Amino acid sequence: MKNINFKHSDESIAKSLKTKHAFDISLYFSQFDIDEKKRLIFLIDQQKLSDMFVLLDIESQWEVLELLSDHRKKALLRNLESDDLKEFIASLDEDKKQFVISLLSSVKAKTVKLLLEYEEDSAASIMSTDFITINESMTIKEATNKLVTTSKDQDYIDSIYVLDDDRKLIGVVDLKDLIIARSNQSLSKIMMDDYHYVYEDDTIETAIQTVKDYDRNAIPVIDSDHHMLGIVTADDIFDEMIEDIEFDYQRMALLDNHESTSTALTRSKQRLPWLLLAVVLNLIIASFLSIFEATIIEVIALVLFQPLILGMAGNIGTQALAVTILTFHKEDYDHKKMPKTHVLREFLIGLLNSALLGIAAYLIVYLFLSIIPTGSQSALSMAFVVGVSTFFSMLISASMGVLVPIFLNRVNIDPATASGPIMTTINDLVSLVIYFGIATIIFL
Amino acid sequence: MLKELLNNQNEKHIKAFLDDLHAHDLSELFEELDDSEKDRLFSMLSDEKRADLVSYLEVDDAASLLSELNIDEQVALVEMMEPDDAVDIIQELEDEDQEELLARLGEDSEVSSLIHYDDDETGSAMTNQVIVVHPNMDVKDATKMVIKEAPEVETISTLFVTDDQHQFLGVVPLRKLLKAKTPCLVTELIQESPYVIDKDPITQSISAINNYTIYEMPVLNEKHELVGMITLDDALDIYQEEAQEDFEKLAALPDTDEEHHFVKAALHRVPWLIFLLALSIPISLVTSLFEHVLATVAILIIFQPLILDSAGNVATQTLAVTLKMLSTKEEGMLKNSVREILTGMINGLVIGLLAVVMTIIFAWINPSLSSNPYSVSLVVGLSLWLTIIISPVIAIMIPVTLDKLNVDPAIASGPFITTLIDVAALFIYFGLAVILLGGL
Repeated sequence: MKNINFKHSDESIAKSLKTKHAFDISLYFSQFDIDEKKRLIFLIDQQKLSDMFVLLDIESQWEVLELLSDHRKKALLRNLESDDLKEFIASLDEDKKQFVISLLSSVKAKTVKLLLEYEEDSAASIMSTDFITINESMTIKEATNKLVTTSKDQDYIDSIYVLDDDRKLIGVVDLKDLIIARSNQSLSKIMMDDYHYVYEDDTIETAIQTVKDYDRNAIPVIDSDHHMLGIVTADDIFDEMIEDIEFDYQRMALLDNHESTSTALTRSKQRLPWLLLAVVLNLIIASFLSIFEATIIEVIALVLFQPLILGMAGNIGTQALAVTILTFHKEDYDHKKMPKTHVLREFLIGLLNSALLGIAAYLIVYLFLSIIPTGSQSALSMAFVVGVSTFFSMLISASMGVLVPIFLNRVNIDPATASGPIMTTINDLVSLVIYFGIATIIFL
Repeated sequence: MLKELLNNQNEKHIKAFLDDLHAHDLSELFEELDDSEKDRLFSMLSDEKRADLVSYLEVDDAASLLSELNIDEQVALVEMMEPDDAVDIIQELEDEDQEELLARLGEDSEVSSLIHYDDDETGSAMTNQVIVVHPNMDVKDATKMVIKEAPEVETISTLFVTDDQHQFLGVVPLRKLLKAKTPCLVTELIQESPYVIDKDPITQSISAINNYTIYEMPVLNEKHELVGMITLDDALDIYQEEAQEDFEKLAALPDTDEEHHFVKAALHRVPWLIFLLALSIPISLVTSLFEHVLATVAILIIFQPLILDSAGNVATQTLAVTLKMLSTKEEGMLKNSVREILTGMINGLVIGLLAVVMTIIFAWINPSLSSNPYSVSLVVGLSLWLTIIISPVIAIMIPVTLDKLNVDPAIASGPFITTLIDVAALFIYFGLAVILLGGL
């Protein structure tokens, strides 16, 4: 399934490239053979090439760069937004890095080197330096002129940033207001001085929240002295947010880096570790169960309701876990403190629901055994054992669902991992010990 | 802070404070007030500030606030709001109030044209306040038009070009317009642009906005006429809501229930739990069929959690992949299914082999459990392999079928799949035991 027909003439390929969006071309790029790639790169216009370039993976990016003439290499790098350029350079090996930096203008090279120094998850690491600033003393007319004459294609122009003589950020002017303003109005009239911003060492999470809460298309990144360093744009925020959420979702489902294009073998490779871990952990469960061998052989009806208890403990645990992981994404969540109200609340919910479900399980088992008598024990006592075990198993599982992710979060392990086999195993283990323990006390 | 200001009675101070406040911050402070304070504050706000505040509140809070106003105030407020925000709130109103308000707003108001869209249709998230220019306009006139219409629209970064028949021709970024020198016609500046269709699912349009990095995405109807645009910041909000819903459904949580009292929140989650409990009855039934073989070969019971857990894990993985594909309407379900089932076969084989080895070692350590470790290990290994092959099949079939029946596959699939797989796994496991360990 290729979306470009390379049997056609250069002319018609160039024409079809014009009508296609860079994203669509990027999807198929890796499937083209080397000659096709050469032709594509030769025929595509420079702007679209840059747009496509940022969407490719690092191997393809390097391939593209190598296929270009020196002149076009420089043109490509010049066209990239500074954050995309930095992203590309950061993923290269050391000597390739130096080579790419040597192709840049000295100003750009300096910017990139600076950007490369920021911590991985700081707001500054995803910022772009392509924005327009004006001095506070400028008139509306001068500001408009500067915007029209000096802005480059990759510059963000929806807002313009107003600096004082020390290059400190004092306000933001939206392009819309600048356009509407009459040329004799003063700049301060249309400038917002209560703009929203992030500090360079704030987390990406903070930047996401700020952009989302205040519905801005870009927010400035400043240092502690209010010097303007860059902007974080909403489209980058969108990408970061998707990455975050996908990650949680995939972890919850025991998936690792799933792509809909990956083959069966890749999928196996990614998932097997989780599954194998689960199998090994089940060996521990089996060893524990063998302790209760006598009880199991004596009271065979216990096996009937074992999946019920394990299932219910698992279900309530998953609910508590999901609620807890969702609270981590709230802006006011303090990652260092124990969220007491949340824990207490979830514990009470767990207590209430475990009690209700324990009673329900009691009734179901009693009815079941009255209709289909199994084993030699009375239906009432079996129902009692199952009911009480359900209650305790669910309560413990619900509490773990809240506490384990909070603990993991504090020691900086991704909390969504908790939904994995380790959690399941601990829950199963606890539930089974409770179940067979109570049965042993009552029946033996 | 706002509370104290309100108690100080000094309206001037309050007004000065409110003027500088972003509506998001105002909405957060507002939520903390009690009812009479809310009323007082609200009466102090200008129509514009009110509109701002209301669009930042939770939809149901906003709706109850709106319903307390008289009809004239309602109309004034709604007309001040962005139509897509207004529609969200109006949809929460009681039917009568809704009709009355819509009647007053008039048939051809922007709100009325948006309200016909379903919640999950692209049109429901768009705004129809856009700047439209004609290809034969001179750039000078186009610029004048932008300046004139700018106060009415959310953003002026993109101008949309349509011909006399309202057919969408493309866009002109404001940047290009500003740099162009008259005489020059708009048609010379037109760029092709991706667009979305108003009746298409909203999730599809949101991924288009993200993929193409379009801050103002044109929305067309089936006749290729421009009907509005979706902005990136709206797409971002909707994406987050949808993603949170997906996540909650995967965890069998009915809804986020942050605001309620804990008893209410607990009871909110109970129906699902009861439903899941009832679904475990068939599993008990299947087990009871095999009572005899279980009584004689107790080691089978010990490995039962292994079989059920592994099957469950595999099913969860496939289900998550399938649901994602369904919710984004991605192509290639068949290809994906084949791959998932192949994955199951490979994983099943590896896990099955490991289980065989484990079972032999285990039986060897606990000789009292089984007199026949090799056949038992064969039963365990073979059952694991077969269940892990079947799990993805079930985890694909159920959501796809539910989707075809127009039932939300995300919310209903999980429990059915777990039950079905448990039942199937136990049949395979105990059935194989009966066959391989002798009729018993």
